[in-house]
Order: sequence, then C-alpha cells, then structure tokens
Amino acid sequence: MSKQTTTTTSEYAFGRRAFLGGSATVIGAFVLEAAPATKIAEAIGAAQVAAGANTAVNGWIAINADNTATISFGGAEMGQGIMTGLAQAAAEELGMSWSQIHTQAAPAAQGYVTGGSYGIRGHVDQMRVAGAQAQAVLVSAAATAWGVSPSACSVANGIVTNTATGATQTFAQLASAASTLTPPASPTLKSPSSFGIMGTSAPRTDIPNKVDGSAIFGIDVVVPGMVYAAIKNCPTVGGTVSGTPAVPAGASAVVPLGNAVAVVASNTWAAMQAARNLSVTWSVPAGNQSISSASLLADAQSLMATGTPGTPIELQAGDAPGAFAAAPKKVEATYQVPYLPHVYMEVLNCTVSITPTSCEIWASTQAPAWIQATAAAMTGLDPSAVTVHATLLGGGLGRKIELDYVIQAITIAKTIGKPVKLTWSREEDMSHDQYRPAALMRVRLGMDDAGSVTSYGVRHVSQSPLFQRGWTGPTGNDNTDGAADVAYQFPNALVEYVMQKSPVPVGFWRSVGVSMNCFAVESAIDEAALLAGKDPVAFRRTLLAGKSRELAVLNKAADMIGWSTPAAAGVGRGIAFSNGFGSLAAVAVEVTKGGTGGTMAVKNVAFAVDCGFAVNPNQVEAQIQGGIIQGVTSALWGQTTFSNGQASSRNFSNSRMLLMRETPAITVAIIQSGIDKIGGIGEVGVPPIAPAMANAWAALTGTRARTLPFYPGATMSD
Amino acid sequence: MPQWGVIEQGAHVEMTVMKFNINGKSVTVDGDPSMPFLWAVRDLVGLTGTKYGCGIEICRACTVWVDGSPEKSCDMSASEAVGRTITTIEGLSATPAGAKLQQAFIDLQVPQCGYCQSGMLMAATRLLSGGGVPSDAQIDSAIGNICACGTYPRVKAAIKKAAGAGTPVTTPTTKPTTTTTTTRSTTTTTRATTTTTRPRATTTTTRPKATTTTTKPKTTPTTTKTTTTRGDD
Ligand code: FES
Ligand code: FES
Repeated sequence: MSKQTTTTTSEYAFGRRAFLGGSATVIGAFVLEAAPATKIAEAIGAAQVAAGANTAVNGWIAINADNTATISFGGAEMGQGIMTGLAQAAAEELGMSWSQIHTQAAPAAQGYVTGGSYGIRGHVDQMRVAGAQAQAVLVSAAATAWGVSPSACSVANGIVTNTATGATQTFAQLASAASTLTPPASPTLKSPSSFGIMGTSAPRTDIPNKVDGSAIFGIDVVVPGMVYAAIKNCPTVGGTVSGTPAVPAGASAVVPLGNAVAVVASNTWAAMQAARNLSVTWSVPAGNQSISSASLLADAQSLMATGTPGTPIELQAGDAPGAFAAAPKKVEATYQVPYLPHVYMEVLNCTVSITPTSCEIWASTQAPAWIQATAAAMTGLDPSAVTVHATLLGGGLGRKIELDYVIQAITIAKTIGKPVKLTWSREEDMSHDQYRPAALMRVRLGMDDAGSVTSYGVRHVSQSPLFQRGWTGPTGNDNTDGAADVAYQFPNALVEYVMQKSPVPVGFWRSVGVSMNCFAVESAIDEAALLAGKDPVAFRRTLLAGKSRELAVLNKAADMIGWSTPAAAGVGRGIAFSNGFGSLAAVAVEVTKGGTGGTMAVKNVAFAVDCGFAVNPNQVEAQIQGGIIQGVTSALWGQTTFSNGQASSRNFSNSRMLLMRETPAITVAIIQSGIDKIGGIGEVGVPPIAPAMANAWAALTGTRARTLPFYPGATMSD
Repeated sequence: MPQWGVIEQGAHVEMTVMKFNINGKSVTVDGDPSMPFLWAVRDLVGLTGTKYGCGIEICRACTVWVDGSPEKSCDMSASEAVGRTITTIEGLSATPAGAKLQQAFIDLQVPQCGYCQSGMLMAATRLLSGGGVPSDAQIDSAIGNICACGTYPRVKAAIKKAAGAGTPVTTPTTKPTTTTTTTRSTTTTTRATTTTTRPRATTTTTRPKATTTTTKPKTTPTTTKTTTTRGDD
C-alpha cells in the first residue's frame, strides 16, 4: 500500500532533489493553478497573490530506485483525500499500479489554495496530463534504446515492454534517460472505460499514519530551539491592545500584536495559562461594545425592509413581484440562520523559524502560497527565501484559508528572535473565529390555482466575507449561492442581495452561501407544496421537469428512504434538493421526537449525489457522511451569539457536537453521469440537511421551524 | 534544563523531575508537576500522537490509558501519571486488540482529517479488550469522542470488524512492548510496506528536555497471528 511521507527540516533545506530522496529522478513537473480562489485572493489582497502567483512548477513526478513513483504537490490534506485522489489521476496515466505510488506534500510555497470543493475537479485533468507526459518520456527512452517506435511498446505496472521482442525495462531503469527528454505538450489521455486506478476506492495514502499517532499536524511540529506561544485576542470585536502588559510568572515574553497579545513560555501549557490569566487593557472602537445578537438582527430586519440591493441584481427573469402580487396562492416566509464557528478539531497553530537569510513556516493551512508572499513582505526576504510547509490539517472547513494566526506567529518569531510555535487555545479559536455569516432570507413563492409556481423571489440580507476583506468586484459574491442558481425552473424570478455591514468577522465556512440559502429555499418549496396540497417530492419533480440528472438524484434519495410507502408512526420524513460546487444532491431524512425532552432526533438519512465522476468512490462516500453529520450538528445546535461585542462560543461546553450515539443511519448513493461533468464533493453534503430536517419536522409535528439552529443554547459536559 | 527564552523576565515556576512509564519505556522529564499530562506527554516527552482538542474533558481527543483504563489526559496532572503504567497511541499497536483495530481503521478507511483518531482508537481498543463483539449500545456508550469530520459510522463499523474477525483469546500481555514496528510488520500486511518511510525526525531529535531510557525489550507478542482480546493493560 502506498502512503504519504512527511519530510524533515533538513531534507527541505537541500531543495527538490534531496526532498524527493537521493535516488529519485524527476521525470515530470507540472503546475496546479489556484483559479477557484481568485475572488478570495483578491479580497485578501492582490499584492499577496501577485507575489505568490502560481507561475512556477509546483508539482513533480519522480521515479524511485525501487521502481515506485513519488507524486508531490501542494494541496491541503484535511481529510478530504485530495493527495490520494489527485495522485490516482497521475498514476492512471503514468502506467503504474497503485501499490507503486507514494504521495508527498510538496514543500513548494507555490502550493495552491484549497477551497471551493475544487481540489479534485479543478486539477484532475492537469494531473492526468502530467502522468501521461511522464509515461511518454519513459516510453520514448525505452523505444530509443531498443531502436523501435514508441508505438511498439506497452506499459503496465511501471514496466515498458517491447511488444515485438518481449524485452522489458522498468521505469527506474529508464528514468535517467527519460528525464532529459521533452514531454509532448498534449499527450493522449486514456478513455475512462479503460481506467484502472481512477474510479476505484484506492486506499488513501495519509491514513496509515493517522492510526498510530505518527501523522504530523501543524500542532505537532517541533523545530530545534523553539519556544511556545499562546494567544489572548481582544475579547471584543475590533479592539486593540493599549500598552504591553508585564511578563507574567511562568512566561518569558509578551508580544503585542495589535488586536491580540501573545505570551511566550517554555511549553504550550505554561503559555496558555499565562495568556488566559493575563490582564490586558484594550481599546475598543465606539459602538462595538454594544454589538449584540439583538442589535445585529434588528439591523438585518431593517435592511430586509428598506435596504438597497446590490447591483447588478443577482438573478432577474420576467416580473417576479408582479407575478407574486397576482398569484392566487402564495408563500411568503422569512428564514434566519446564525453566525457559525467552524469547529474543526485541530485549533489554529503555526510554527515559524526566521534567520537573517531565511524564513521557514509550518502551518495547518489551506493557503500556503499566500503565506509565502505574506512572510516575504513581513521579513523583507525574497519569496524564494521563504519556505512554507503545509502540514496535515486537523480539519480546515474554510477557516484555515485565513492568515491571521500565521501573521501573528511570524510577528512573534521576529520579535523574540527565536523559533516559535503558536497554538491557540480552544476558547480563543471558537471566540475569535471568522464566522459563517448570519443571514435573513425572505422567500416569496407565487402559485396559480393548480399549484404551479409562477414567481420565485429571494431577498437575502447578510454580511459578505469578500466585501469585508475589501473586495471591490461587482456583486455576485458567494452569499447568494444556492438562491441565484437553483436548478428549479421558474417563469419569473428575482434574487436580491442586501449587504449588511458590521465589525463581526465573517469568513468562508464549508459551503458558504449554499448553506444559508438552501435552508430557506428548500423549506419554502416544502411550504408551497403543502399549501398546494402536493407531495413534496412530486412537487419538486414538476419544477425539475426535463432535467434528467436532477430528477435521477431526487428520485434516488426518495427511493432509498422508501418515500412511496408511508413513514412509520412517530416518524416524519423530509426531502431537500441542492446544487452547488458542480454537483447535484438530494437528501431524504427521517426524524422522530426521540431527542431529549421530545426534541428532534434524526434517525435515517438517505443521500444521493451526482458528482459526474467519482475519482475515489469510497472517499466521496466519506465526505458525504461527514457533511451530513456536520449538517445535522449545525442545524440542531450550531451558532455563535454576540453580547457586549463578544462572541458567545467558547468551547464544546457551549458548542454541542453530534456524538456517535446520536448519529443517524446513513446511506449514500453516488451517481456518475460522466467525467466531463465532474463536480466537487467536500461541501456538497452539508446544505440540504437542515431544510430536509425542518421539512421532516413539519411533516411530523405540523410545526415549521424557520430559524436555525433548532435548539439554541445547547451545551455539553464531560 | 528548561529553556526560558532570551527575554529573561517573569518569575519561574517550580520544576520537578518526573519519571513516567510510557509504552513500556521509562521517560524522565523536568517540568511543572501541575501541568496536565496531555501537555507533558506532547511537549516534554515528545509523543505528539495524543491530541489537544478542548482541554476541558469533553472531546476525548487526548485519551490515553492509565493502568489499562482510558483516561482523558487533559484531566490528569503530570504528577498523577508518575508511577502509573501509561499507554499512548504510539504504543497501541503493541497490544493485539490495538493492532487489529488499527488495521480495521485502515481497511475501512476510517480517518478523515485524522485528528480525533488517536482518542477514538484508545477508547475503542479498550472496548474490545473484554472479548466478544460489543453491541451497538455498548459501542455508543464507550465512544463519547467528538469527531468533527463525522467518522462515527466508520468507527463503529471498524470496531465491529475488529471484534468479529479472528479468533480469541490467547495469553494477554501485561504491558505494552517497545517494539511496535516489529509488531506492525508481522501482523498487518497492509501496513508492512509502510513502516520504512515513516519519519519522526522533526519531532524526536529536537526535544530539549526528555531523557529517554528504554527498558529491556519484551518479546513482541504478536508474531503469531492469534488475537488477544484482553489484557491490554
Ligand atoms: S483535550 Fe482532553 S477531553 Fe478534550
Ligand atoms: S477524523 Fe477529523 S475530527 Fe475525526
């Protein structure tokens, strides 16, 4: 079985050859672009992107002396299987068996940015081309040695065979000669029907290290002579430190960081204790102290009533207001979703070592390229002197695309003149997140007497992560994903986005806008179906008429839950459909009143997804399972509230998480409509869960829940 | 000696020499005895497989065995660990039930990000150590660990697979051994090819404070393919 390797500091220092191992021969180099992150990149700062532009090679295929290959590139492996999936694509065209493949996170600071469920679908073709190019030069080397045409050679399991004579040479024997050849620009790729590695559930390369404690996450990094830092962020949004506090007992330094203070000590515990107990004087902008959930909601309600939508309008077809006014049957409902912390298991951390001529950074990050550019600017070093090691991530969910914790660590290292590992406590992590925005969404659906939808309108009010970061592009940001691009066909449609502004930091949370709008739209569709006296699945089928892929997904989910037969007594069923990230999804759920005190318990979840092509079906299933569980957790309990300008979330004690005993039975069906339709998976599991739960609850109890979470204020204890 | 950094300010706390028995090895560190064992094992001993998740005894990412019982290491001071037999994830493969469960986690591709998996495995292995196939209810009550990635269905399936596969029960080992890689390579074909390239250099060569003495190696108990389902302590 192949596996993922991690590299030591000294190995990195000697560059690519040493990094790949002394006996490895690089036979292919490729470039993975960061296209999907452009908007975020622009928002975070154009200078950083320019300096970290993906113009250089950032991936390699090397043949090792033992006739294995090492495929290295800079993706952020946070459990979504990106290292494995992309290596499968290269290995497929390279002509080796999966057992001959190793993967390695490239040390390249040019590593691209991982987000938008883009990791596989955005790079799979580039990886296939890289693999095919590598095979082409290997075959060419063999053909030259034998004095035959390349077409007289066949390839399997890393061995080239002369089909006329039966002579063979291994890739390892050919690698040196092959490395001097120029690969074809556009090699012929395999037909999907002949795939042997892509489309299989190849075992993930990063898993063996994750069952014996040897996997190195950012929080596990140790470098010689390093000290440990912990953070105390200003508890109130927007506040800054005024004056540097004295160094407390047990600590060696205090470093002011603008909106935070770092405490340095000889171990993590000492640093966290000292930071926790540190008394700091903060200067808070006027008005921020009074920010509360109530004030934020009142602001959103006022914008809902009278705010001016951004232009151009997100979606406009026909005369939706006119059709709504004229409709004999109508649904008008306002849905509310909360600010959400990310809540991955590995807290934010970053390790930095700076010398006069170099800067090395180890981080749990989704954006190594941006880190390189940022560190170069902060240290005055050339970007080539900055090495960023993207470690394994103990979850990212969009939060680890941000640079705040990295910038803090660089500043601390510069200030104290020693290598340092910064680790945020769980409390700091949850209370200083960049939250999924809260949103108010008013949905208007007008129907004729027969129950056909004549008008679809969504007015969405929320903060924009992009605009908060200074992005100045046109409207059309992530916030209306899931509302402006619904699969349903409506003769009249209007989707407006009204931007709310507040100092509350907002960011990119797994599925961003779709997670908000899918709840509103799929709940409202259900309300309309009930008003029209129609079955919710049949109602959706009508709206998807003629769309065979969408219908297949919807019908599959309904079939899996047994929609055509009545639910058992005491069980409510709900359905929801979702599209986003290039994939189609439908989920049917069954709920009961089996939770504590008669609250909602989710018993069964049947999820159908069409992602075009599943490079690794087992990992597609895993991502959907995980998305469902995160979707259930956040729908039941997920939120951060604000009072006195401070976030409420602190730890799992007031951010309840679904446990194994509360986990529903889950079935996942993967529909593959073709590799030309390949879609994302990482975020696809989350959005339809909350509306399906609300729809099921309404079916069970007659009560419509239009506000998330269903059970605010949930707690956990040991 | 501890390093206090270049900025010599602030008072030092009291340091104590503490001797731990971890995974069959004797390890001596110099540190604050009130520090949670979680941080002692990670920062002072240098075994980073035990994870920090919450620090308040809820998430169970920090689970280790103390005298054979799963305990949250954030809830135990370093001084409390002295004189006890500690097993961490790094020593789990030396227990037959642990090795089986690790293989089941690989076979069923359980981990996603992997961060919670050390704690999961420490809790799950103990559940198997009693022998027999645990019921769903027993698994649910033994695994109170938080997994933000949502690996619960696969964790449960892996526990059942490990419990149901193979034949019980041979002589239990009373302590974890020191030869974990040997154990792994002789019991698990899938993992056998993976052991040579597992680097730990960045985390093991640079710890300033831990002095490690290896106790006499025990014979690895798993060169046979029998299954031991109790006695992991
Ligand atoms: S870190 Fe110990 S229970 Fe969470
Ligand atoms: S595997 Fe990621 S938290 Fe459990």
